[in-house]
Order: sequence, then C-alpha cells, then structure tokens
Amino acid sequence: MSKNRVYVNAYESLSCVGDTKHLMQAIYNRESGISIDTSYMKEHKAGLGSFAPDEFFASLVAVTQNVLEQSPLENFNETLLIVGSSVGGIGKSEQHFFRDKSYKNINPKEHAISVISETLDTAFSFKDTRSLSTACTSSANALMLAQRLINLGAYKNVLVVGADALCYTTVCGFQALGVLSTQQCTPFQEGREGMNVAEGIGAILLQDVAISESVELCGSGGSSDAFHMTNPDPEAGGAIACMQNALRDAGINAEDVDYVNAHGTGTQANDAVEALAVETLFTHKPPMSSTKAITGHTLGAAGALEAIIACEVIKQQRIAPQTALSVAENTQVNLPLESYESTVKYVISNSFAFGGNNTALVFGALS
Amino acid sequence: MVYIHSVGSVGRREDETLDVKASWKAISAKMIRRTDRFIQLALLGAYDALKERDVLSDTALYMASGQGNLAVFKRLRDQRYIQKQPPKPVDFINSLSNTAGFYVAQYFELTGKNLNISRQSLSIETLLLLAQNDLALKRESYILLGGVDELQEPVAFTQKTLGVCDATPLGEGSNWLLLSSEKMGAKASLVVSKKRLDRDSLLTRLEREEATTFVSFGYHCKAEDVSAIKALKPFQVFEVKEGYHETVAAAYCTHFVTKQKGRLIYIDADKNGYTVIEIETL
Repeated sequence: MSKNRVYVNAYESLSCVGDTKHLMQAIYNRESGISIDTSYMKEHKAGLGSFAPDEFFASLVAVTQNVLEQSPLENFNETLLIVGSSVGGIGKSEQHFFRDKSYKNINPKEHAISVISETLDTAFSFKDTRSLSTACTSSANALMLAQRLINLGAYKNVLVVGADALCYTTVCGFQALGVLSTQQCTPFQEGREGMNVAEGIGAILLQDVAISESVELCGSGGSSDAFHMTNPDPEAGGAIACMQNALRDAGINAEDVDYVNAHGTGTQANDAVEALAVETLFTHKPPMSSTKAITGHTLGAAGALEAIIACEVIKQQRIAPQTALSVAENTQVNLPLESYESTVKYVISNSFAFGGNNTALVFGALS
Repeated sequence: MVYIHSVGSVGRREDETLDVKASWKAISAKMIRRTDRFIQLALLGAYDALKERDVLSDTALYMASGQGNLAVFKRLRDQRYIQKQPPKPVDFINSLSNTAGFYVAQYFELTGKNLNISRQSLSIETLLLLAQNDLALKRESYILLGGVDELQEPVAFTQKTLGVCDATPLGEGSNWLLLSSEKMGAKASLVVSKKRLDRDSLLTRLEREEATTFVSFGYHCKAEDVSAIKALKPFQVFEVKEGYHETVAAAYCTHFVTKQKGRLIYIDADKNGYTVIEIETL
C-alpha cells in the first residue's frame, strides 16, 4: 500500500524559556529556564520549569492560534486534533480541592485528559478530536498516530498538541519517587541528581502537502519494555527497538542520522539506558543532547516540544549542545558542549515513559 | 477489514458484585504486586482473551478507558489533604494512564507498541480505527485491544462523571479483542467506519442490510433514531447485560463473538455524527 508523506508545516511552543524563538535562543546559548522552587513542597527545594501556572488554558489557546496564523489554513474545521497529555485537567481539580477541601465541587469533566482537547475544540471547532495519554511519551505517540492517519489518507491536516501543566500531583509524586533534582538537571552527567518537572505546550500542524518551510516527519517507531513499571530495561532492548522501528519506517539507516535529540531526563536510570542504546545503535557517534537541561521535563508535552526542537535544528542546520554537562557518565556517546553549524538531514527524537513505553520519531530535511 | 482472533470479557452491572482480586487469584497463582482494582480489572479481561492461545511477543497493546483510574486520584487527594502525607509512590505510579497497559504487557511479555487513548464514549471506536489503520498499513501484525472502565462508588458520583440520567443502569467492564489482518483461524471480521455518518447516510447504509442482521445502539443514539432504524427492517436488537460505562462498545463486540452467530451493526453517535462497528462471525 502506498502511503502519503507527512510534513510539519507550522508549529509553536511555550515553555519556561518562552516561545519557540526564545526556546532555540536559550538552547543555543545554554541558558536554562529552570528556577528553584518551594511553593509546591515547603519542606523540599525542587528545580521546576514554569511559565504561567494560572493561565495555562489561555496559553494553550494562544499557542494554537499562533499555529493557525502561521499555517496555510483559514481555520481548523477540516483538521483532526490529537492531544498528548499526562496531566490533563488534574490541576483544575486540585484548585477546587484546595479551595473547598472536598471533592464536592470537582467537575469530573474538567479533570480528564480530554479537557485539553475540549478546550481547544470549543475555541477552534476541529473536525474531530483524540486524546492520548501514555505518560511522558504522550505527545510523541500523538505524532506517531497523526503520521499514520495522514499516511493512510484518513486526514489531510492533523494538529498535534502536547500539553502539560505543573501541578501538585506530579511535583509531589516525582518527589515521592525520589527522582527530583533540587537544582537544574544535568542530563548524562556523572553523579546526576535527577529531573526537573516542568510545564510546556507544543502545537504542530502536520499535512500531506509540503510548503517551502516544511520538515518531513519521515518515520516513527514504538516499543514496550514489558520489564518494570518505573525502571527501563537495563540492556536497553526497548529503547533500541523503538529507534530501529522508527529508522525502518523512515527508510533510512542508523548512520544517516545527523543528530539525536535525547529524552535525557537527568535521572540515573533513564540516561544510563538511553546512552547505552544510542552507543549501541549509532556507531558513527552522531551528536546527541538533551534539551531538558533548558526546559525541564514537560512530561506529556515533551514529545511535541522536542519535535519542534528537532525541526528547528534541521531548519537552522545547527546542532543543539548539551547544557549543564562537565563530566559525562558514558564517554562513548558524542555530547557536544557548544552549538555548531552542521549539515543536518535527519534527526531522531526519543521519548521514553514509565511503563517501559518507548517512542522514537525521525524528522528529515526536504531534499 | 480486520479479524478478531480471540476475545475476553469481565464485567458487571451496578446491582451485581465482582471480586476482582479473588477472580484473579482463582486463575493465576502469580498475584501482581502494587496493582489496584482498576489494573487488576484490566488484567482479568486480557487474561480471558489470551488464556487459550499463544500470543506473539511483538503484539501491540492498545487500551482505552473513558474515565481511567479515578479511584487512585481520590486516594492521592486523601493522602495529601486528609492524611497530610506526600503521595504514596505506588499510587502516583498507578495514577498514570498507561500503568494498566504496562501490567498487561508485562504479564503477557508483550514488547510491541503500547498505547492508551481516551475519547469518552467513543474511545473504543477511536481505538478500533487506529488498529484498523495500523493493520492495513502492516505496521502491526497483531494488536491486543481493550477497553477498561471501573464503576466508582457511590454510583451518583459516576452518574455525575458520565453525565447520565439516574435511570441508566451503570456498570464496569474489561473487554479485550486480539486483532489481526490475518483471516485464518479468526472468529469474526470487524470493520469500523472511517468517517462519521450523518443520519441519512446511516439509514441508507442500514437499508442495505438483511433483516437477519443484529443491531445494537450506543448510549448516545437518540430515541427517534432508534425508532427510525427499527422501522427500516425488523432487525433483531442485540443487547448486553453489562451496564453503561464509556467503553461498553467493546463489551458488545466481545459478547457478540462469544454468544451469537451472524452479523452485528453497533451504532453510536456524538455531535459530529454516527459511528458504526460491523462484526460478522466466521
């Protein structure tokens, strides 16, 4: 069966360092947006990435409006919306609970993952909506789903939105797991402390026709470790499998990849296994970096946010450096400390989640 | 078209009881640590689907839930605001939408893609469409597809959550189908509509059916639509006893394959139009 090609034709993001323009400036200049916070846990310091916690849903609509204005579309009436989110409307429920100290006024419809798609559908009247929630791979899987639907010709336009707000459940939950860093996270660093929870929004319009600014979503691949709920397979079998699946889907070889945008949360387990996977699969040692040292881990939004970074690296032909690294734990992977211009045709972007849920996306420059 | 190779189903109406833990102990000596009732419900249904067959390790797992694991959210809130404690790690982990899918994948050693989708009352149709696409594109060879929803007590809370009237009998269920594009050895074929149908298109579509076809109506079909369809031909109505929950469409699929022979048209709707699932036993 022949398949339609899939093009990234417009996007916008919002993270603790601002919109996409400011995000890329921060990445290339190695300026982190993480701040040290005690508002969620008075007894513990945590490095968090925040932009405007009380205005998250207004920001969601504004970012989406920006994508519409950049795009060739007049409206989203013939566009499918796929949202990837881990948190959904939990923050709204928390606000009610804080105020009332009771469940009485919690509106279950505001609590669900789908509250994000419903908010955007109300604002823009999409043709249809979907919500995908697989923890930290949510919006990467949303992009994979969008690619499949366009491949098959089921839709011509799909808007993927990855969005997660900061909330007590996630900040305190990750603290309970002992994986939060009290300072800016240091992905791939020897003796790293942990991750920074952050909020973020990434909105990406995928279409079946190319425009002059397009980047191609060439391939995607998923896998499941089926190993442990919170720890990745130490032999990196699942991480390697999802990248191999994505490369196969894109019709390219490992040595064609010019840059790896790593999941790189800054936790001991994730970074060790991801570095092993990249070391094993990419023997030509392409540059790799985790931009979570700049943005923090935006959870369900991370896949979309980092897909935007992958597209920008291709457009700017400039490698994103690894911020906050002095001594790498794994010296067999290529972690550039400075940005530099380079020919970048293909980028692979990794997303890994609890539950051993692995997704890799391959983006390519238009030839 | 995709083919259903096996089905599994566990569920109850609100006036029945279901001891999930005891049911699991009765079938498996391996009690899975750190799981809660929602996860055990998912495991129980998946086990029922796979108990009599081998499954390939690269089988993908697609799961849907209308409401997800709401009980664990209440536990997390209680820990913080009533017990004044930080979240228990196990509850935080179990609050993730893909945790139940992980435990199913781990139990059956499935290393294929593992997804979790929600679209409230049309979650199953959305998931079936994704599976139909991925099988057609040969991205997957087998997909274990399940819908899981747990009835939360008090029932009034769930009625509010679902936005249903007091008279609607509620239920819970864990219904799973093993799907493939391979016909050999299959129990039934399945087609889900790729696009929403308007009312006229739906009626035109149903006019082509034989009167021996069974029809089932989802919760969001209007009474006048049901009457119009019944007026077309003397279709037999296929019903399941499991009360309403947002993935009950999967129960219609699993129950029809196990209890009935023939052809089923399951119809549901939302503001964008009607969806149709066609099942034909082989």
